[in-house]
Amino acid sequence: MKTVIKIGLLLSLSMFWACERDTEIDGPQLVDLFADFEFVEDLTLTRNTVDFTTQDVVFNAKFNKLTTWELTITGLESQAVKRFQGISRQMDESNAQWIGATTQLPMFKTEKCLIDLHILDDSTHVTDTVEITVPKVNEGFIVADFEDGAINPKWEDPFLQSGANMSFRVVSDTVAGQGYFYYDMGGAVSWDYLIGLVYMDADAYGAPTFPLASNPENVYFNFMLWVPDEITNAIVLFRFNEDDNGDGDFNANEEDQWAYELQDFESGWQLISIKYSDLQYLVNGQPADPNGNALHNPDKLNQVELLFLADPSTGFSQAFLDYVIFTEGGPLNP
Amino acid sequence: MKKTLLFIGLISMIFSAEAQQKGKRIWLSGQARNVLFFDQYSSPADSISPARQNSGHTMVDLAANIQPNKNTFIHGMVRVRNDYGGFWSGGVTFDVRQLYLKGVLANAIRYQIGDINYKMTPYTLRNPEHDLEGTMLNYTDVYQEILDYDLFYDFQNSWRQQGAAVDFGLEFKKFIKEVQFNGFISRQNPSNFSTINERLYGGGNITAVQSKYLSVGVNYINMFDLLGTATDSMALLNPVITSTYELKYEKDKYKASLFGELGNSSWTMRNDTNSPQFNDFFYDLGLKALWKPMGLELTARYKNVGARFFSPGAQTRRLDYSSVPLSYSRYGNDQTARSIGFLDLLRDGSIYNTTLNTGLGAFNPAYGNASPYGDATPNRQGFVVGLNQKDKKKRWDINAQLSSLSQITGEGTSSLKSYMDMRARANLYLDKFIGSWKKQIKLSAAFWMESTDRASNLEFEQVNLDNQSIDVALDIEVMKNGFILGSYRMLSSVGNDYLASRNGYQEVLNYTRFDNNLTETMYMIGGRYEFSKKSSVSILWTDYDMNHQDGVTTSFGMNSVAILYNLKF
Repeated sequence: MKTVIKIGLLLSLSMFWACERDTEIDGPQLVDLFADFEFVEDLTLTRNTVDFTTQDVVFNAKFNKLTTWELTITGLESQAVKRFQGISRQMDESNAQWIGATTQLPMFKTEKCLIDLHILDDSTHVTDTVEITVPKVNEGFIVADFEDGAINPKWEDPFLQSGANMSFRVVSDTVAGQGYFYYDMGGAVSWDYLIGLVYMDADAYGAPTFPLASNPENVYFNFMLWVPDEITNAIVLFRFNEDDNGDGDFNANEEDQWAYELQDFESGWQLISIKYSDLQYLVNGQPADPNGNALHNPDKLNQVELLFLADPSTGFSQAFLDYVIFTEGGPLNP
Repeated sequence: MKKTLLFIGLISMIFSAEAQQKGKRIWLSGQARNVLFFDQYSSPADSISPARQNSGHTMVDLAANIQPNKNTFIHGMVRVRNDYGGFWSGGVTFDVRQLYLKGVLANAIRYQIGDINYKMTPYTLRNPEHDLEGTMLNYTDVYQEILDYDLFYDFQNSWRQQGAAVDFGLEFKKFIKEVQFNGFISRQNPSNFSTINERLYGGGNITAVQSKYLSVGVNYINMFDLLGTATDSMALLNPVITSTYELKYEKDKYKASLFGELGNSSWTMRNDTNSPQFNDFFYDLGLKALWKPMGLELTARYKNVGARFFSPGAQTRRLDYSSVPLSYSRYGNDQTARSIGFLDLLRDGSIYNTTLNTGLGAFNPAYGNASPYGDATPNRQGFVVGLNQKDKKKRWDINAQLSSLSQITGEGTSSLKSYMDMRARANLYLDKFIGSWKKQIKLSAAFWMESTDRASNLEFEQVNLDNQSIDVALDIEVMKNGFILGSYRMLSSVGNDYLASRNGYQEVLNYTRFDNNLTETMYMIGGRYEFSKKSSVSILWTDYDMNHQDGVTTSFGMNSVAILYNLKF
């Protein structure tokens, strides 16, 4: 019997062996589900005046619960909009750091901006302002931003049809995609698709080719375009002429000409970006075999042609162009 | 239908006569039942639902029992049921109710194939008690017995499975007296050959009886999907392993024992990159002492069950609280779904589970919040103390239990809920105090009080739910085998709690606030006549009220007459 008691006691004691257990709270926190919203720390900005070439703005706030929020920055002159959204317990550099970029074109200018923090769970709005002394500068090779008030004088003269209401001029307006100027292309040509053709030559920048990397997977062509809402017939075609043989010129019969065509546009300024390797050779709008080495060679790009087109039977057409820029490593983050 | 029954009867008689001539045994057994309910519904906020509803059925279970030799037994049962209003075959159903074969192999190994009833330990495989069963009196067993029989709940807390079971034992001369081996395998769901694998549930236990003083056991059970039975490569794996022990000591005047069970579980969905893996453990240790001269028994246990301990065989609830009762399933002027009340618990078989769930099922905190999944309720730790006393002259019996439990892991907050459950039940046999009175006069009473609390500085985290019930009954034998019954039952639940919603991975996705201000009452008057131990008829009148005072849920009353006739043969 004593042996049995010993075994029994041993068994009883063995039951209390040290077991590790995860005692992390089960499920979502009740405070997130049922608490009324409160600021634990009010919204603050790291600065109210910012030079985006050297600075950024971080928005800081702390909430008492997991909160769905939206911070909107609106340029009071440009009407540019930057939006941050999140579901978090706090706002900080991880989710609300502004480097001057925009969510909804146009790009921000040197201007005052209104800040609106909207707590969606609670319909609370908190406002503040920030002043941009120097807007964000984007890395890349700017082909044209029209901020001199005219197209690049070193470009070959554009070919413009003698149609009706032809514009093809640089326009000054506070709602430009970037800065204060954009290029207005418009006209009605009843005998041809082509309304106007603009040549952007590499030698206008001091070299026979654009200063681009050789890897087409790494090079992006970006531009901003706005087709007025009432215009439904606009066609924009970019052609990229490569000097494959290095003779300083482009020969359409022997060298590659890549192209990118756009139709059907959304309202307002649109940022369009395309990877150089995604460009195709087009014949009458259809992909075809290129005439050159059939390799995408951005470092051999000699000329960019901009063709503004429309069905001749549809009458007047118009589109606005701004901020044509090559970037590397990714599309433009304006 | 009459012809069918006559045909079955004749065939059985012929087989029986022939079998007896050859020394084999064939005999028939079964049960017949007639149930009628005449319900009268009322609600001041309901002008749409009909005021009266009558329902019921007549049913015959007919079993053929065949013993072709002394080591083999075959049982097959068919059920013919005719719901109230069904005549000339309309509404008549004819089902195979159960079928099994059992026997002994080589005079050593017992087996059963087909329908099996199986149970193991409270933490591995155990069909729990009904909701409120432990807190109310058993005079409503006349209803409950019908449900338990239909749902196969009447086999000592076992779950009805379809599969196979074996058991055998080995005896030893030294050190160990006996070792018992038990094993089973059952199918939980079939494959659909594409997205659902065949799900099996199997396990067993080995119990070593060292002497009359000590026994220890090891239990293993596993719910798993059989890969390859469907194209889906994801498969549930939920093994549970436990050990048990019991150390007993007995003298002339007292008996004492130490007992316990401890173990762990694992839960994962194999080949599913989104699936978590849960591992957790439990222990439940206790002692029991009986003082024979007074018939006084004291039990004390300490248990600790982890929040991520998952054991489908032990945690599947009988009542599926997410279902809707058949009677007046929609009510009120908005015809909203009616929640289950304790009258439904007695009468409605459709709200109960007959298969095991792999997740934690819905429950009503008003009917027990401390241990909704029985002993194996996850995320509980604390003491359970019980006291029973039976008078040696059988004039009374009393039992009481106090549980003081708390959570181990916070639900949505680091603050933990605490649970206090106190229940007591007493039967007083008044006839034993009256020398000349020979027939039974039984006065019974039960009381239950349960509180759930969570303190917090944050108002929305605070929980305070108080449940209580009172049940009183007087059962008088007015003539030989003829009884009349009068009873009153009341349950109230006031306060709030939060209920967890889980996904298929057992993870808590959300908490829903549960606010309750409910009172249920039931008066019952009736009579029962027992023709024999196997045959009785009861007529019962009940006046039931479900009164919600939350200003949202519609209150109602149900006045009902029930006629229940039961015959076993």
